[in-house]
Amino acid sequence: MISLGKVLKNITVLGLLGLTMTSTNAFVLLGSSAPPRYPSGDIQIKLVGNQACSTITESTEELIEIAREAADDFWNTVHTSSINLMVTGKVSAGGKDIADFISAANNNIVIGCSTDSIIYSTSTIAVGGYSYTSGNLKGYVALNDHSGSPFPSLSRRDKVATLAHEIGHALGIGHSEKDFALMFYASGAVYNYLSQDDADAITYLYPHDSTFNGLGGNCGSISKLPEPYDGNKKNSQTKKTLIIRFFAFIIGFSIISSRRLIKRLYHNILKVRCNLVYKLLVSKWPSAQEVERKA
Amino acid sequence: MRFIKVSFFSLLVAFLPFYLKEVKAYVSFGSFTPALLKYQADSYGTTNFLDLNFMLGGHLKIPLKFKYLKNHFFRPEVGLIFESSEMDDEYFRSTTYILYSLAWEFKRNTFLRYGVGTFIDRVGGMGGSKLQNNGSSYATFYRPISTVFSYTSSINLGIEYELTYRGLPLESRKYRPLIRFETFTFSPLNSKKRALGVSVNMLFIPKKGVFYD
Repeated sequence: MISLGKVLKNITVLGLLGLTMTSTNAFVLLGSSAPPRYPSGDIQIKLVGNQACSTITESTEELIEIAREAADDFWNTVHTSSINLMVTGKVSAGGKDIADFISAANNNIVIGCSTDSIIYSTSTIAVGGYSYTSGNLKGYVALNDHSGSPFPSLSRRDKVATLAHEIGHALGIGHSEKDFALMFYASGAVYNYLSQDDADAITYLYPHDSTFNGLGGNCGSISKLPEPYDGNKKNSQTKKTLIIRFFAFIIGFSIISSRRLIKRLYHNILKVRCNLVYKLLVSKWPSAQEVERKA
Repeated sequence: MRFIKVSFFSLLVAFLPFYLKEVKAYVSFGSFTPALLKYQADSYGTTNFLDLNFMLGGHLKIPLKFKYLKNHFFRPEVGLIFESSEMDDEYFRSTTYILYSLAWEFKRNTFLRYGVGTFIDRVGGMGGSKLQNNGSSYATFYRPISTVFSYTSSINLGIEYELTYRGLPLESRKYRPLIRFETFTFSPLNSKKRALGVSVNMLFIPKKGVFYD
Protein backbone atom coordinates (compact mmCIF):
# COMPACT_ATOMS: atom_id res chain seq x y z
CA MET A 1 0.00 0.00 0.00
CA ILE A 2 1.37 3.37 -0.98
CA SER A 3 2.20 5.73 1.84
CA LEU A 4 1.36 9.27 0.76
CA GLY A 5 2.84 10.71 3.93
CA LYS A 6 6.19 9.11 3.20
CA VAL A 7 6.18 10.39 -0.37
CA LEU A 8 5.40 13.94 0.76
CA LYS A 9 8.06 13.74 3.47
CA ASN A 10 10.70 12.67 0.94
CA ILE A 11 9.73 15.40 -1.52
CA THR A 12 9.88 18.05 1.21
CA VAL A 13 13.32 16.89 2.38
CA LEU A 14 14.68 16.92 -1.19
CA GLY A 15 13.22 20.38 -1.82
CA LEU A 16 14.74 21.79 1.35
CA LEU A 17 18.10 20.30 0.50
CA GLY A 18 17.94 21.89 -2.95
CA LEU A 19 17.61 25.30 -1.37
CA THR A 20 20.62 24.82 0.87
CA MET A 21 23.74 26.78 0.02
CA THR A 22 27.18 26.69 1.57
CA SER A 23 30.05 29.16 1.64
CA THR A 24 33.72 28.67 1.01
CA ASN A 25 36.88 30.69 0.05
CA ALA A 26 36.83 34.25 -1.28
CA PHE A 27 37.56 35.17 -4.89
CA VAL A 28 36.82 38.71 -6.08
CA LEU A 29 36.52 40.33 -9.50
CA LEU A 30 37.93 43.44 -11.14
CA GLY A 31 34.60 44.43 -12.66
CA SER A 32 31.59 45.54 -10.66
CA SER A 33 28.01 44.20 -10.81
CA ALA A 34 28.13 42.50 -14.23
CA PRO A 35 31.72 41.52 -15.04
CA PRO A 36 32.51 41.69 -18.77
CA ARG A 37 33.33 38.39 -20.40
CA TYR A 38 35.03 37.45 -23.66
CA PRO A 39 32.62 36.18 -26.35
CA SER A 40 33.41 32.56 -25.44
CA GLY A 41 35.74 30.47 -23.30
CA ASP A 42 38.08 30.07 -26.31
CA ILE A 43 40.25 33.13 -25.76
CA GLN A 44 43.27 34.00 -27.87
CA ILE A 45 46.47 35.32 -26.34
CA LYS A 46 48.89 37.21 -28.59
CA LEU A 47 52.38 38.50 -27.91
CA VAL A 48 53.56 41.89 -29.13
CA GLY A 49 56.03 40.85 -31.80
CA ASN A 50 57.24 44.06 -33.39
CA GLN A 51 59.16 45.44 -30.40
CA ALA A 52 62.24 43.97 -28.76
CA CYS A 53 62.34 43.90 -24.97
CA SER A 54 65.24 45.87 -23.57
CA THR A 55 65.63 44.70 -19.95
CA ILE A 56 63.75 41.42 -20.27
CA THR A 57 66.14 39.00 -21.91
CA GLU A 58 63.63 36.54 -23.36
CA SER A 59 62.84 36.70 -27.06
CA THR A 60 59.22 36.95 -28.26
CA GLU A 61 59.30 33.20 -29.08
CA GLU A 62 60.47 32.38 -25.55
CA LEU A 63 57.76 34.60 -24.08
CA ILE A 64 55.22 32.78 -26.27
CA GLU A 65 56.39 29.49 -24.74
CA ILE A 66 56.10 30.90 -21.21
CA ALA A 67 52.60 32.20 -21.97
CA ARG A 68 51.63 28.79 -23.36
CA GLU A 69 52.83 27.09 -20.19
CA ALA A 70 50.97 29.66 -18.08
CA ALA A 71 47.75 28.91 -19.94
CA ASP A 72 48.11 25.12 -20.01
CA ASP A 73 49.51 24.54 -16.52
CA PHE A 74 47.05 26.81 -14.75
CA TRP A 75 43.86 28.17 -16.33
CA ASN A 76 43.23 25.43 -18.90
CA THR A 77 43.20 22.75 -16.19
CA VAL A 78 39.87 23.65 -14.58
CA HIS A 79 37.42 20.89 -15.47
CA THR A 80 34.38 22.83 -14.25
CA SER A 81 35.07 25.73 -16.61
CA SER A 82 34.83 26.11 -20.39
CA ILE A 83 37.97 28.28 -20.48
CA ASN A 84 40.41 27.38 -23.23
CA LEU A 85 43.24 29.87 -23.56
CA MET A 86 45.13 29.61 -26.84
CA VAL A 87 48.45 31.34 -27.47
CA THR A 88 48.12 31.97 -31.19
CA GLY A 89 51.16 34.06 -32.10
CA LYS A 90 52.16 37.68 -32.50
CA VAL A 91 50.45 41.02 -32.90
CA SER A 92 51.79 44.51 -33.72
CA ALA A 93 51.45 47.35 -31.22
CA GLY A 94 52.07 51.08 -31.74
CA GLY A 95 54.30 51.48 -28.69
CA LYS A 96 55.31 50.04 -25.33
CA ASP A 97 52.55 51.64 -23.26
CA ILE A 98 49.55 49.78 -21.88
CA ALA A 99 47.29 51.94 -24.09
CA ASP A 100 49.12 50.57 -27.15
CA PHE A 101 48.47 46.98 -26.02
CA ILE A 102 44.79 47.78 -25.49
CA SER A 103 44.59 49.25 -29.01
CA ALA A 104 46.15 46.06 -30.42
CA ALA A 105 43.65 43.78 -28.64
CA ASN A 106 40.26 42.79 -30.04
CA ASN A 107 38.30 40.49 -27.71
CA ASN A 108 41.56 38.82 -26.80
CA ILE A 109 44.57 39.26 -24.52
CA VAL A 110 47.80 40.98 -25.60
CA ILE A 111 51.07 40.42 -23.73
CA GLY A 112 54.15 42.60 -24.17
CA CYS A 113 57.19 44.19 -22.57
CA SER A 114 56.19 47.63 -21.36
CA THR A 115 57.82 50.85 -20.23
CA ASP A 116 54.52 52.34 -19.07
CA SER A 117 54.83 54.75 -16.13
CA ILE A 118 52.39 52.59 -14.08
CA ILE A 119 55.00 49.84 -13.70
CA TYR A 120 58.01 52.03 -13.06
CA SER A 121 58.48 50.64 -9.55
CA THR A 122 61.26 48.05 -9.24
CA SER A 123 58.98 45.96 -7.00
CA THR A 124 56.38 45.53 -9.75
CA ILE A 125 57.02 42.52 -11.95
CA ALA A 126 54.06 42.96 -14.28
CA VAL A 127 50.49 44.26 -14.42
CA GLY A 128 47.37 42.85 -16.01
CA GLY A 129 43.85 44.06 -16.63
CA TYR A 130 41.33 44.85 -19.31
CA SER A 131 39.45 47.63 -21.02
CA TYR A 132 35.82 47.14 -22.01
CA THR A 133 34.12 49.32 -24.59
CA SER A 134 30.98 48.54 -26.60
CA GLY A 135 31.16 44.77 -26.55
CA ASN A 136 34.90 44.58 -27.11
CA LEU A 137 36.87 43.24 -24.17
CA LYS A 138 40.57 44.02 -24.51
CA GLY A 139 42.85 42.23 -22.07
CA TYR A 140 46.49 43.14 -21.52
CA VAL A 141 49.53 41.92 -19.64
CA ALA A 142 52.43 44.38 -19.40
CA LEU A 143 55.78 42.99 -18.25
CA ASN A 144 57.98 45.55 -16.52
CA ASP A 145 60.77 46.35 -19.01
CA HIS A 146 62.27 49.29 -17.14
CA SER A 147 65.88 49.01 -16.07
CA GLY A 148 65.92 47.32 -12.66
CA SER A 149 62.85 45.21 -13.50
CA PRO A 150 62.61 42.17 -11.22
CA PHE A 151 61.27 39.94 -14.05
CA PRO A 152 64.65 38.74 -15.45
CA SER A 153 65.83 37.51 -12.05
CA LEU A 154 62.84 35.19 -11.59
CA SER A 155 63.11 31.45 -12.05
CA ARG A 156 61.41 29.93 -15.08
CA ARG A 157 58.57 28.56 -12.92
CA ASP A 158 58.01 31.95 -11.27
CA LYS A 159 57.89 33.63 -14.68
CA VAL A 160 55.20 31.17 -15.75
CA ALA A 161 53.24 31.74 -12.51
CA THR A 162 53.59 35.54 -12.84
CA LEU A 163 52.26 35.49 -16.38
CA ALA A 164 49.40 33.18 -15.31
CA HIS A 165 48.54 35.60 -12.45
CA GLU A 166 48.43 38.58 -14.82
CA ILE A 167 46.39 36.61 -17.37
CA GLY A 168 43.97 36.03 -14.48
CA HIS A 169 43.60 39.82 -14.15
CA ALA A 170 43.12 40.14 -17.92
CA LEU A 171 40.29 37.61 -17.56
CA GLY A 172 38.68 39.78 -14.88
CA ILE A 173 39.74 38.08 -11.64
CA GLY A 174 40.85 40.16 -8.66
CA HIS A 175 43.22 39.31 -5.83
CA SER A 176 42.58 36.42 -3.48
CA GLU A 177 43.11 36.37 0.28
CA LYS A 178 44.54 32.87 0.20
CA ASP A 179 48.33 33.05 0.37
CA PHE A 180 48.69 29.90 -1.74
CA ALA A 181 46.20 30.98 -4.41
CA LEU A 182 47.64 32.00 -7.77
CA MET A 183 45.70 35.27 -7.51
CA PHE A 184 47.24 36.21 -4.14
CA TYR A 185 48.61 39.78 -4.37
CA ALA A 186 52.20 38.95 -3.43
CA SER A 187 54.71 36.33 -4.52
CA GLY A 188 56.49 34.07 -2.07
CA ALA A 189 54.67 30.75 -2.22
CA VAL A 190 55.49 27.94 -4.63
CA TYR A 191 52.84 28.08 -7.35
CA ASN A 192 52.55 24.74 -9.09
CA TYR A 193 48.78 24.52 -9.52
CA LEU A 194 45.66 26.61 -9.27
CA SER A 195 43.91 26.71 -5.91
CA GLN A 196 40.24 25.89 -5.48
CA ASP A 197 39.63 29.63 -5.07
CA ASP A 198 41.12 30.42 -8.51
CA ALA A 199 39.21 27.52 -10.06
CA ASP A 200 35.93 28.83 -8.63
CA ALA A 201 36.63 32.30 -10.02
CA ILE A 202 37.20 31.03 -13.55
CA THR A 203 34.19 28.70 -13.24
CA TYR A 204 32.08 31.71 -12.27
CA LEU A 205 33.26 33.69 -15.31
CA TYR A 206 33.27 30.83 -17.85
CA PRO A 207 31.00 27.95 -16.76
CA HIS A 208 30.27 24.87 -18.84
CA ASP A 209 26.95 24.97 -20.65
CA SER A 210 24.10 22.57 -19.98
CA THR A 211 24.24 20.74 -23.32
CA PHE A 212 22.53 17.38 -22.76
CA ASN A 213 22.56 18.02 -19.02
CA GLY A 214 26.30 18.32 -19.10
CA LEU A 215 26.70 14.96 -20.81
CA GLY A 216 27.58 16.50 -24.17
CA GLY A 217 29.90 19.17 -25.46
CA ASN A 218 32.44 19.19 -22.66
CA CYS A 219 33.99 15.77 -22.66
CA GLY A 220 37.25 16.84 -24.21
CA SER A 221 39.00 18.38 -27.13
CA ILE A 222 36.15 17.99 -29.62
CA SER A 223 33.83 20.92 -29.17
CA LYS A 224 31.62 23.08 -31.32
CA LEU A 225 32.26 26.83 -31.60
CA PRO A 226 30.32 28.33 -28.71
CA GLU A 227 27.88 31.17 -29.15
CA PRO A 228 28.81 34.64 -27.85
CA TYR A 229 28.48 34.69 -24.09
CA ASP A 230 25.63 36.59 -22.51
CA GLY A 231 25.86 36.03 -18.77
CA ASN A 232 22.44 37.46 -17.86
CA LYS A 233 20.60 35.56 -20.60
CA LYS A 234 22.37 32.34 -19.71
CA ASN A 235 21.64 32.67 -16.00
CA SER A 236 17.96 33.38 -16.52
CA GLN A 237 17.67 30.50 -18.99
CA THR A 238 19.47 28.07 -16.70
CA LYS A 239 17.38 29.08 -13.69
CA LYS A 240 14.18 28.75 -15.68
CA THR A 241 15.19 25.36 -17.05
CA LEU A 242 16.16 24.10 -13.60
CA ILE A 243 12.89 25.27 -12.05
CA ILE A 244 10.88 23.64 -14.85
CA ARG A 245 12.84 20.39 -14.47
CA PHE A 246 12.45 20.40 -10.71
CA PHE A 247 8.69 20.84 -10.85
CA ALA A 248 8.34 18.39 -13.74
CA PHE A 249 10.25 15.84 -11.66
CA ILE A 250 8.07 16.40 -8.60
CA ILE A 251 4.83 16.28 -10.60
CA GLY A 252 5.93 13.19 -12.51
CA PHE A 253 7.12 11.48 -9.38
CA SER A 254 3.93 12.33 -7.49
CA ILE A 255 1.76 11.01 -10.31
CA ILE A 256 3.70 7.76 -10.50
CA SER A 257 3.79 7.33 -6.74
CA SER A 258 0.12 7.98 -6.26
CA ARG A 259 -1.17 6.11 -9.27
CA ARG A 260 -3.09 3.64 -7.11
CA LEU A 261 -4.78 6.46 -5.31
CA ILE A 262 -5.70 8.12 -8.60
CA LYS A 263 -6.94 4.79 -9.95
CA ARG A 264 -9.14 4.27 -6.92
CA LEU A 265 -10.50 7.79 -7.04
CA TYR A 266 -11.12 7.49 -10.76
CA HIS A 267 -13.01 4.22 -10.28
CA ASN A 268 -15.08 5.63 -7.46
CA ILE A 269 -15.95 8.76 -9.42
CA LEU A 270 -16.74 6.71 -12.50
CA LYS A 271 -18.87 4.35 -10.48
CA VAL A 272 -20.81 7.18 -8.81
CA ARG A 273 -21.32 8.93 -12.12
CA CYS A 274 -22.45 5.77 -13.87
CA ASN A 275 -24.93 5.08 -11.09
CA LEU A 276 -26.21 8.62 -11.30
CA VAL A 277 -26.62 8.46 -15.09
CA TYR A 278 -28.27 5.05 -14.81
CA LYS A 279 -30.73 6.30 -12.23
CA LEU A 280 -31.50 9.41 -14.21
CA LEU A 281 -32.04 7.58 -17.49
CA VAL A 282 -33.61 4.33 -16.31
CA SER A 283 -35.91 5.84 -13.72
CA LYS A 284 -37.62 7.93 -16.41
CA TRP A 285 -38.27 4.98 -18.68
CA PRO A 286 -40.95 2.48 -17.68
CA SER A 287 -39.71 -0.97 -16.78
CA ALA A 288 -40.79 -4.10 -18.72
CA GLN A 289 -43.18 -5.11 -15.94
CA GLU A 290 -44.87 -1.69 -16.07
CA VAL A 291 -45.24 -1.94 -19.86
CA GLU A 292 -46.80 -5.41 -19.53
CA ARG A 293 -49.14 -4.20 -16.82
CA LYS A 294 -50.26 -1.29 -18.98
CA ALA A 295 -50.79 -3.56 -21.94
CA MET B 1 19.77 17.12 -28.28
CA ARG B 2 16.41 18.16 -26.92
CA PHE B 3 14.91 15.13 -28.68
CA ILE B 4 17.40 12.77 -26.99
CA LYS B 5 16.70 14.34 -23.59
CA VAL B 6 12.94 14.12 -24.01
CA SER B 7 13.16 10.53 -25.26
CA PHE B 8 15.35 9.49 -22.33
CA PHE B 9 13.07 10.95 -19.70
CA SER B 10 9.94 9.67 -21.48
CA LEU B 11 11.38 6.16 -21.46
CA LEU B 12 12.29 6.48 -17.80
CA VAL B 13 8.85 7.75 -16.86
CA ALA B 14 7.14 5.12 -19.02
CA PHE B 15 9.09 2.19 -17.59
CA LEU B 16 9.22 3.21 -13.96
CA PRO B 17 5.56 2.42 -13.09
CA PHE B 18 6.01 -1.21 -14.22
CA TYR B 19 8.85 -1.68 -11.79
CA LEU B 20 7.63 0.57 -9.01
CA LYS B 21 6.68 -2.26 -6.74
CA GLU B 22 10.17 -3.72 -6.97
CA VAL B 23 11.93 -0.40 -6.69
CA LYS B 24 13.94 0.18 -3.55
CA ALA B 25 14.93 3.64 -2.42
CA TYR B 26 18.23 4.30 -0.74
CA VAL B 27 19.64 7.12 1.29
CA SER B 28 23.40 7.65 1.34
CA PHE B 29 25.93 9.91 2.98
CA GLY B 30 29.67 10.14 2.75
CA SER B 31 32.64 12.15 1.67
CA PHE B 32 33.46 13.47 -1.79
CA THR B 33 36.75 14.71 -3.27
CA PRO B 34 35.93 16.64 -6.46
CA ALA B 35 39.43 16.64 -7.98
CA LEU B 36 42.05 14.37 -6.51
CA LEU B 37 45.62 15.80 -6.57
CA LYS B 38 44.62 18.69 -8.81
CA TYR B 39 44.42 21.91 -6.81
CA GLN B 40 47.08 23.50 -4.67
CA ALA B 41 46.43 23.14 -0.97
CA ASP B 42 49.33 25.01 0.68
CA SER B 43 52.18 27.46 0.10
CA TYR B 44 54.66 24.65 -0.62
CA GLY B 45 52.98 23.68 -3.88
CA THR B 46 51.49 20.39 -2.76
CA THR B 47 48.09 19.32 -3.99
CA ASN B 48 44.92 18.35 -2.22
CA PHE B 49 44.54 14.68 -1.44
CA LEU B 50 41.25 13.69 0.13
CA ASP B 51 38.80 16.50 0.81
CA LEU B 52 36.08 15.98 3.36
CA ASN B 53 33.07 17.34 1.54
CA PHE B 54 29.87 15.93 2.96
CA MET B 55 27.59 14.42 0.34
CA LEU B 56 24.02 13.32 0.72
CA GLY B 57 22.11 11.38 -1.90
CA GLY B 58 18.88 9.61 -2.70
CA HIS B 59 18.93 6.52 -4.93
CA LEU B 60 16.58 4.13 -6.60
CA LYS B 61 17.25 0.49 -7.35
CA ILE B 62 15.29 -0.66 -10.37
CA PRO B 63 15.80 -4.25 -11.53
CA LEU B 64 16.34 -4.72 -15.26
CA LYS B 65 14.37 -7.64 -16.60
CA PHE B 66 16.33 -8.20 -19.79
CA LYS B 67 17.79 -11.58 -20.56
CA TYR B 68 21.31 -10.28 -21.20
CA LEU B 69 21.34 -7.94 -18.25
CA LYS B 70 20.71 -10.51 -15.56
CA ASN B 71 21.66 -9.31 -12.07
CA HIS B 72 21.79 -5.73 -13.34
CA PHE B 73 19.99 -2.84 -11.69
CA PHE B 74 19.40 0.68 -12.87
CA ARG B 75 20.57 2.91 -10.04
CA PRO B 76 19.76 6.58 -10.69
CA GLU B 77 20.91 8.90 -7.94
CA VAL B 78 20.38 12.55 -7.06
CA GLY B 79 22.27 14.34 -4.34
CA LEU B 80 24.06 17.34 -2.95
CA ILE B 81 27.67 17.97 -2.03
CA PHE B 82 28.38 20.48 0.71
CA GLU B 83 31.75 22.22 0.59
CA SER B 84 33.40 21.91 3.96
CA SER B 85 36.37 24.25 3.38
CA GLU B 86 36.77 27.49 5.28
CA MET B 87 33.43 29.18 5.64
CA ASP B 88 32.77 32.87 5.14
CA ASP B 89 30.10 34.93 3.47
CA GLU B 90 32.09 36.10 0.44
CA TYR B 91 30.55 33.71 -2.03
CA PHE B 92 28.86 30.35 -2.10
CA ARG B 93 29.46 27.10 -3.90
CA SER B 94 27.52 23.89 -3.85
CA THR B 95 27.25 20.92 -6.17
CA THR B 96 24.20 18.95 -7.18
CA TYR B 97 24.81 15.65 -8.89
CA ILE B 98 22.71 13.29 -10.95
CA LEU B 99 24.09 9.84 -11.68
CA TYR B 100 22.72 7.48 -14.31
CA SER B 101 24.48 4.36 -13.10
CA LEU B 102 24.00 0.64 -13.50
CA ALA B 103 24.93 -1.86 -10.84
CA TRP B 104 25.91 -5.43 -11.63
CA GLU B 105 25.72 -7.94 -8.80
CA PHE B 106 28.62 -10.04 -10.03
CA LYS B 107 29.03 -11.73 -6.66
CA ARG B 108 26.55 -12.16 -3.86
CA ASN B 109 26.11 -8.83 -2.05
CA THR B 110 28.83 -7.20 -4.17
CA PHE B 111 27.96 -4.74 -6.91
CA LEU B 112 30.05 -3.18 -9.68
CA ARG B 113 28.73 0.27 -10.46
CA TYR B 114 29.26 1.92 -13.83
CA GLY B 115 27.64 4.71 -15.77
CA VAL B 116 27.67 8.41 -16.44
CA GLY B 117 26.81 11.42 -14.35
CA THR B 118 26.25 15.15 -14.35
CA PHE B 119 27.67 17.48 -11.74
CA ILE B 120 26.09 20.92 -11.54
CA ASP B 121 28.37 23.35 -9.75
CA ARG B 122 26.65 26.42 -8.44
CA VAL B 123 28.91 29.43 -7.87
CA GLY B 124 27.70 32.88 -6.95
CA GLY B 125 27.61 35.67 -4.43
CA MET B 126 25.59 38.48 -3.01
CA GLY B 127 27.63 41.31 -4.58
CA GLY B 128 29.30 44.28 -2.93
CA SER B 129 32.79 45.70 -2.97
CA LYS B 130 35.86 44.90 -0.93
CA LEU B 131 39.04 46.85 -0.21
CA GLN B 132 41.95 44.49 -0.63
CA ASN B 133 45.73 44.55 -0.82
CA ASN B 134 46.89 45.21 -4.35
CA GLY B 135 50.64 44.88 -3.85
CA SER B 136 51.93 48.39 -3.15
CA SER B 137 48.53 49.84 -2.22
CA TYR B 138 44.91 48.89 -1.53
CA ALA B 139 42.29 48.69 -4.27
CA THR B 140 38.57 48.04 -4.52
CA PHE B 141 37.52 44.65 -5.85
CA TYR B 142 34.03 43.26 -6.36
CA ARG B 143 32.33 40.15 -5.10
CA PRO B 144 30.30 38.04 -7.54
CA ILE B 145 26.71 39.21 -7.73
CA SER B 146 24.83 36.57 -9.70
CA THR B 147 24.65 32.77 -9.56
CA VAL B 148 26.20 30.64 -12.26
CA PHE B 149 25.66 26.95 -12.95
CA SER B 150 28.39 24.89 -14.56
CA TYR B 151 27.56 21.46 -15.94
CA THR B 152 30.27 18.82 -15.95
CA SER B 153 29.87 15.26 -17.12
CA SER B 154 31.62 12.25 -15.64
CA ILE B 155 32.23 8.58 -16.23
CA ASN B 156 31.65 6.62 -13.05
CA LEU B 157 33.10 3.36 -11.84
CA GLY B 158 32.70 1.99 -8.37
CA ILE B 159 32.18 -0.94 -6.11
CA GLU B 160 29.52 -1.50 -3.50
CA TYR B 161 29.25 -4.09 -0.80
CA GLU B 162 26.16 -4.98 1.14
CA LEU B 163 26.98 -5.62 4.78
CA THR B 164 25.17 -8.67 5.96
CA TYR B 165 26.96 -9.44 9.18
CA ARG B 166 24.89 -9.64 12.27
CA GLY B 167 25.79 -7.47 15.22
CA LEU B 168 27.16 -4.53 13.24
CA PRO B 169 26.50 -1.19 14.92
CA LEU B 170 24.61 0.07 11.89
CA GLU B 171 22.54 -3.06 11.47
CA SER B 172 18.96 -2.40 12.38
CA ARG B 173 15.54 -3.86 11.90
CA LYS B 174 14.56 -1.17 9.45
CA TYR B 175 17.72 -0.65 7.37
CA ARG B 176 20.52 -2.71 5.92
CA PRO B 177 23.84 -0.86 5.43
CA LEU B 178 26.02 -0.88 2.31
CA ILE B 179 29.46 0.59 1.78
CA ARG B 180 30.50 2.14 -1.54
CA PHE B 181 33.69 3.42 -3.14
CA GLU B 182 33.28 5.23 -6.44
CA THR B 183 35.47 7.19 -8.86
CA PHE B 184 34.32 9.90 -11.25
CA THR B 185 36.40 10.85 -14.29
CA PHE B 186 35.67 14.36 -15.49
CA SER B 187 36.58 15.59 -19.00
CA PRO B 188 38.08 12.19 -19.92
CA LEU B 189 39.07 13.23 -23.46
CA ASN B 190 40.90 16.40 -22.45
CA SER B 191 44.34 15.69 -21.00
CA LYS B 192 44.63 19.17 -19.45
CA LYS B 193 41.23 19.34 -17.81
CA ARG B 194 40.92 15.68 -16.85
CA ALA B 195 40.12 15.24 -13.16
CA LEU B 196 39.39 12.34 -10.88
CA GLY B 197 36.74 12.60 -8.21
CA VAL B 198 36.46 10.05 -5.43
CA SER B 199 33.65 9.27 -3.05
CA VAL B 200 33.31 6.96 -0.06
CA ASN B 201 29.73 6.42 0.99
CA MET B 202 27.55 4.61 3.40
CA LEU B 203 24.17 3.60 2.02
CA PHE B 204 21.06 2.42 3.78
CA ILE B 205 18.50 0.25 2.12
CA PRO B 206 15.18 0.07 3.92
CA LYS B 207 13.94 -3.46 4.43
CA LYS B 208 10.32 -2.41 4.05
CA GLY B 209 10.73 0.06 1.20
CA VAL B 210 10.34 3.80 1.30
CA PHE B 211 7.37 4.28 -0.95
CA TYR B 212 5.53 1.04 -0.19
CA ASP B 213 4.87 -0.53 3.18
